[in-house]
Amino acid sequence: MSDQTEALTNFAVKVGIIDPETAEQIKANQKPPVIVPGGVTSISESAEKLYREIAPSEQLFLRDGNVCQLIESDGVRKLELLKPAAACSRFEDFVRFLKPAKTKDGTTLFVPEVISKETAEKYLTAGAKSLLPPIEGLLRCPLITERHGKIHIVSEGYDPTTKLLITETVKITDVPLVEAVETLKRLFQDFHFQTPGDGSRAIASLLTPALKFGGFIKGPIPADAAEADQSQAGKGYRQQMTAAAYNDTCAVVTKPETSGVGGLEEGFGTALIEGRPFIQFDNIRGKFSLQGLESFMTATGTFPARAAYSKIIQVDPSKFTIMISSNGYQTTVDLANRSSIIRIYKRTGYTFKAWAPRGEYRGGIREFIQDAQPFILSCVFAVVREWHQRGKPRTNDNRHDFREWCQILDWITQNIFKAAPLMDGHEAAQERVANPDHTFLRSLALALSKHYKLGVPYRPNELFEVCEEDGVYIPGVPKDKMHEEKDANTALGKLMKRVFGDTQSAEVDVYTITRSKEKVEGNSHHTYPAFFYTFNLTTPPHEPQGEHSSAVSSCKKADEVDKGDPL
Amino acid sequence: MPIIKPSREFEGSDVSSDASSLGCYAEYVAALNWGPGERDQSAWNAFLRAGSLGIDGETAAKIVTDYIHTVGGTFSPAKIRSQIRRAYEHVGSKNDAPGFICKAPKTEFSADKLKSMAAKVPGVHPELLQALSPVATDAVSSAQFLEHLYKPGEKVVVFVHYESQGQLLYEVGAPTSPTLPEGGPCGVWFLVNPVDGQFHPNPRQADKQSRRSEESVTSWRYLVLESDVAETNEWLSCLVQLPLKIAAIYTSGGKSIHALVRIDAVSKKQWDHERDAMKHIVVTLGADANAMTAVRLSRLPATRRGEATQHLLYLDPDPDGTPIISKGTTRNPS
Repeated sequence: MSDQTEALTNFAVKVGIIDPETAEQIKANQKPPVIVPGGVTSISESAEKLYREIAPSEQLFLRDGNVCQLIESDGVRKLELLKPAAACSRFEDFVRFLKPAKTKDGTTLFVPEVISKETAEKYLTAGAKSLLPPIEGLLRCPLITERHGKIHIVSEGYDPTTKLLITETVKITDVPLVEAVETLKRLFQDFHFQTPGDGSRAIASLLTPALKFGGFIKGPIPADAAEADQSQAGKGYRQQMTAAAYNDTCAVVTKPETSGVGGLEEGFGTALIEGRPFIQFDNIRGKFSLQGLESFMTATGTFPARAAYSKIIQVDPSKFTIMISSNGYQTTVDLANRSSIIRIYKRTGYTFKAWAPRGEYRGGIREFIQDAQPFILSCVFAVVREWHQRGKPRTNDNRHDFREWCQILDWITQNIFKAAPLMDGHEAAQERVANPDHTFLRSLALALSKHYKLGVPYRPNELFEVCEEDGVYIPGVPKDKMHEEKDANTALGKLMKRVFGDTQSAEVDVYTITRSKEKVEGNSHHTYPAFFYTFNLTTPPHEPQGEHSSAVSSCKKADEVDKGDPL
Repeated sequence: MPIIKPSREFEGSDVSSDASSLGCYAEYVAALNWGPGERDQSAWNAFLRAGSLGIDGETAAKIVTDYIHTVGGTFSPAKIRSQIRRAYEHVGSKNDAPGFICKAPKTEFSADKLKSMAAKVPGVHPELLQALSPVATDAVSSAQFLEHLYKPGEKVVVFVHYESQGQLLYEVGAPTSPTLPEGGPCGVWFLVNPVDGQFHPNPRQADKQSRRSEESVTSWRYLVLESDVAETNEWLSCLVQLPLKIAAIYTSGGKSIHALVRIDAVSKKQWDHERDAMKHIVVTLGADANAMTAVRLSRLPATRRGEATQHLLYLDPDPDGTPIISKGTTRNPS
């Protein structure tokens, strides 16, 4: 029934032309009839008729053998398994159920029937449900893909090839490559990346969903692991920018206070089952180890997702992007090898640019992307088109386990964006995040740097004080003794021995730590040898470049006004 | 063709074969598509099946007509009788078509409901409607009327003789389109939905060549509401209150007033669905149910019917469903 007919029917009831019962009958009569199972009607026949009527609507889908529906909750569209109780009324949106009844003279008539939960359950388990379109995920924006060797844009609705449902229409325009590249680069100009390689990986992170969801990258893609030196540096914000470019938001998975890893697993499973394409493990503290996630990152077929009070659903990992943010990313070797680590420094005292897409200030870069989303996505598609047009080239960089991803994005960042090689500085970062000692030393170096104490030799007890002041946890100290100087010093000494061995210097991230032995005077005026540690910056910080020359005509940047740090 | 499984009751063999045949038949009828546009074919199939199962014509007719009634459809008793006779002859069964079939009760015009609704907005007259029209109606010619309501390249068949294939094919936006007739003894009509201008066989009339049947329609855009029973001002009072996308209102050159409602259906089936849902309401207010067909001819405004003029009263090329009276402003308050 169209909006017009529905409005007319409601109006007619309101002014008394027809009664509500007749209105309901009019509405119901618009739907095709389905005879409920029973008597001569088998379950499979009835279910076939039901699902044949529902399938073209593309509102109910089949996911791992389960009937699911698209729902919207708090502005977020997600997939939900259809339960029998809900199915009773949901099916009525598509058909009207009838059952045969005999009149006194023996004639069979069909009368309306409300199906029971048991009947709904029979429908939900009937084989005919396979008539519904299979679904693997959702997207809130068009999809760029390749069909018969040519670029093809899937604008809206269900795409049977990728099994993705595009839930919103976004108008894609042709953007000249130069303008697209400048616009995308400009999105990151306020970020202080630790190295140029980190900047390249940030660009890669923005492009990866388009390439992966569109099937240009067949193999796995790494998790976007954002790491910052301090809180409020913008690591999570950058990841939200990526989701915003695809007209979406991140499904945030956080570790519940009262739960262990199980809580994370459940949150992760829920996001997967809901079909949320951007899943963010936000502000992870301490060592991040999620066995399920490690298998997910390399799963070639399907992955069993499980949410609280739900059965296991096999999901397709290729329809998701994983993001992890932390101030000191520390993880297992396996997950480190499956991450793309992007490090940023907090820009203390820096006023972020106010973006004014329509001449009116609304917020920071993320808000700008939200406002100008069709244009930003058009820029991403322009880059993908260019790469495709040039024969889908790759470099031969093999410094990441996910080589296909690495080589494609390395080519794009170097040749289209004229940026640094993708993997520059990444191996060291991977090694460090997989090594708790190195992660600790990086955090300590950042704390010393914050207090302008780089280049000064310190003894372990003095380093402990810095750790205490900045809340840096020393690996190996029991949680209940982390404030005990003696235990901390012992753990610190052991840690340094592990790191240095027989050498006198160690490199961690962009820092060099040197060890020296000097005689110090004890309480009873006799001297003894003691180790001193000096932290220095090996690589000078990669300062953000000045403003890129703007090639964006559709948006203008407001004057640098102090309207608060958007991060 | 749906597959009918044997009745489980029949397998028990304690039910008479007549009852089981009836069960099978009822099941078969239920599996047929009784949606708009499909009922004729389904009724024919149902009677073929009834004949082959040896079910008497009266019972078959009752089941079929009850079914049509249940889904909100209508039927012609004569046609049902004819279908039964032909179907039973076809399968070699005894021709026992029923002598009488009760037609399903149809929605009826209610003068009380019309009056009651008209009283809510009294005093709506043609001049007021012309003042409320988004497009000034007095200067609109018949060609401009078509140019406003159809897209460039679309073709509209125009008639001076009602029972013909149309005297003229008007192509919107084409500089070479023929001049529209200024009038005719009985008036000038146009087919409300655009056509391709070609002749097609009409399977519902023994494949007679036609350019005004549904095979020629290119867009299921409009539906005509007209009333022969409602008093003019009451009918207008109702029309201005209805939340319908009324694109135009014009006189017939006689007593009747036609309203062109925008439907924008994607298919004939959908158009029929919309019509069926609306019919219950508008017929109660006086609309002519027989005029609500997708290939309806309607009066072309700004032409003459004998000495009278078919006046254009209201023209909104882009209606949004807001009741005319709720739009609140007159184009020309004077």
